[in-house]
Amino acid sequence: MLTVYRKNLKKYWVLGISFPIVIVIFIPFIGSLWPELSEQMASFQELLKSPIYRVMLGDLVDLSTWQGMYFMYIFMLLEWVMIFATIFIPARMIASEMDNNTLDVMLSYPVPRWQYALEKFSVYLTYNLLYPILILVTTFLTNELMVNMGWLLAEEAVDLTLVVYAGIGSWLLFFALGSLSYLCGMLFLESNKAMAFSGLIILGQYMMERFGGIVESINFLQDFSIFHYLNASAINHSGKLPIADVLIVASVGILATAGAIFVFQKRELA
Amino acid sequence: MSKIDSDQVLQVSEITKIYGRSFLSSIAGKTLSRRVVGAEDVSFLVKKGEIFGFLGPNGAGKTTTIRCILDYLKMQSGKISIFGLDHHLDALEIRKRIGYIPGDLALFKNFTGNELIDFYNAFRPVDPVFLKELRSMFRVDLSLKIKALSSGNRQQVGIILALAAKPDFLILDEPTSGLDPLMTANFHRILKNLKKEGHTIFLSSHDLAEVQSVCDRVGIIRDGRMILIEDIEDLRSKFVQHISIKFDTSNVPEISDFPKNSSIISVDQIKKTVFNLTISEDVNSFLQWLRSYQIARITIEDASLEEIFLQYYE
Repeated sequence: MLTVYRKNLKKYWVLGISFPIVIVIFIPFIGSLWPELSEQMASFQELLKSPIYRVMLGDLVDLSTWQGMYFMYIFMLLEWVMIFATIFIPARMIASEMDNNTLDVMLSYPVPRWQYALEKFSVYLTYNLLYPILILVTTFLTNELMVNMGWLLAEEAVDLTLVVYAGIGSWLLFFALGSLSYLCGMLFLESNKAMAFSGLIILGQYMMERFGGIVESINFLQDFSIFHYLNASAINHSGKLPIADVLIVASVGILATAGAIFVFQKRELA
Repeated sequence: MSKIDSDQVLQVSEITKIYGRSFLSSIAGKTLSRRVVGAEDVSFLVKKGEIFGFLGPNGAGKTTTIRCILDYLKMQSGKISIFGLDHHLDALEIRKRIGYIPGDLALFKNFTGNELIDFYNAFRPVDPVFLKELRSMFRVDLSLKIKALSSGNRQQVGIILALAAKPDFLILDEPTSGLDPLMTANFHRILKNLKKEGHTIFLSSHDLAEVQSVCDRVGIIRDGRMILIEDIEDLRSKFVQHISIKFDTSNVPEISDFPKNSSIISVDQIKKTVFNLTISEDVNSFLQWLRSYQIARITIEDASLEEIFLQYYE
């Protein structure tokens, strides 16, 4: 039962936990800097009106509060990790097995291809769950520490409900972008081509979101970018989890995953 | 282990696989890329309890045919049934009963041999008694990671994995490549024992000696076409050998002195004392004649597979 899943969970554990750990280390780090940074950040807020910063950081950033700075730094970092991880990891999951010929032996055993593909992708989704979980736990601990140290008033602490919402959003983005990357892997069944194509799609969407946000005439491009939905800064700004965005991103993820599995089930392994 | 319920374990009927016919070219109704024939109208059957040798030079279509049998490749036409089941529709049921060693064997490098056995055991349970026997016959250390093993030892792990479940039908694509002679002999012994127990083996190889030593019947494929299916004993009589003889200078025969025996196909004098002969399998009468001369050196080589093919075209 779930043999492929368990095997791959074991195989990828170092890679799976290292990225989330790198991100959560930043939470106490920027928390420790907050007492000194708070005044500087308030003045830095003016600079964020520059189009260059808006391209880099989005236009909903508020650095004048601990929560605003927290959301900007942590979720921007998470977004960059997400871009890197989704381009390289899902695209290679099956394609690299094809490159290495290990699929030949594996698929001679009585395991349906769809099940094999689904169990492998589930490993990626499982490790991505570590991001929201570890971020939530570390944020809670950092909040407590900062209030106890007197660096923060209790009412200035990060709203953990919003962290949960942003975590759900991030995980769904990992899912949708990863599914698109996985689909590229299944279409090409060759690591280099799959990564190149998934990079094109994912970075293309990132550019559409960022540049669509500052140039009025191409504003419509944002609607076609997954990065436009479930944005952590927007969740922080609105204070709620946008259900419509959840449905859009989840739908993209489900359709792309189903497409990837269908392609793998039907195609030949030449 | 499930019971084999048919005399024909594998039936391949007129399969054709052509590479380079893409989905787009099918829509366009024309060939957009270069077509390469992998297999064309290939038909044969493998009977229960036999070892069927599948011979052919590199690129002849052996691996293509095997990948069609395993449902890795989609054929343009033809039908394949294994244990009387459709190779595509009943693929999962079939895979419970087969073992496979690919020609270009690759295993998960970060796993040990033991971990791989445990992993694959979940899909096709191993026969613990036979596994113990295999462990003793092969000398590979299964506690080492695959990446730490030599290619020959990896091949041994691949053999153990394919055989451990004692499957009804084994599909082996160049299984002894990289094995030393001792391990090869052990492997051949295992195959013969499995055959005695009623297991069926499909052995693809370009090694004539291997096919000669273990197979009951042989099929020869060339340029994607099956050009011969024959009992191994019948094929053996068609083999030729190349003999190079250096006579002692004291007593050197003339070409005309060589016996006019039907087993000698040709005689060439290379130097005054050196002769090259092509001779059929029956060399006894020639060796009898040779006893009246002093020999300085003699080498005997099997004919290449290509030469056997040429025999069929002549």
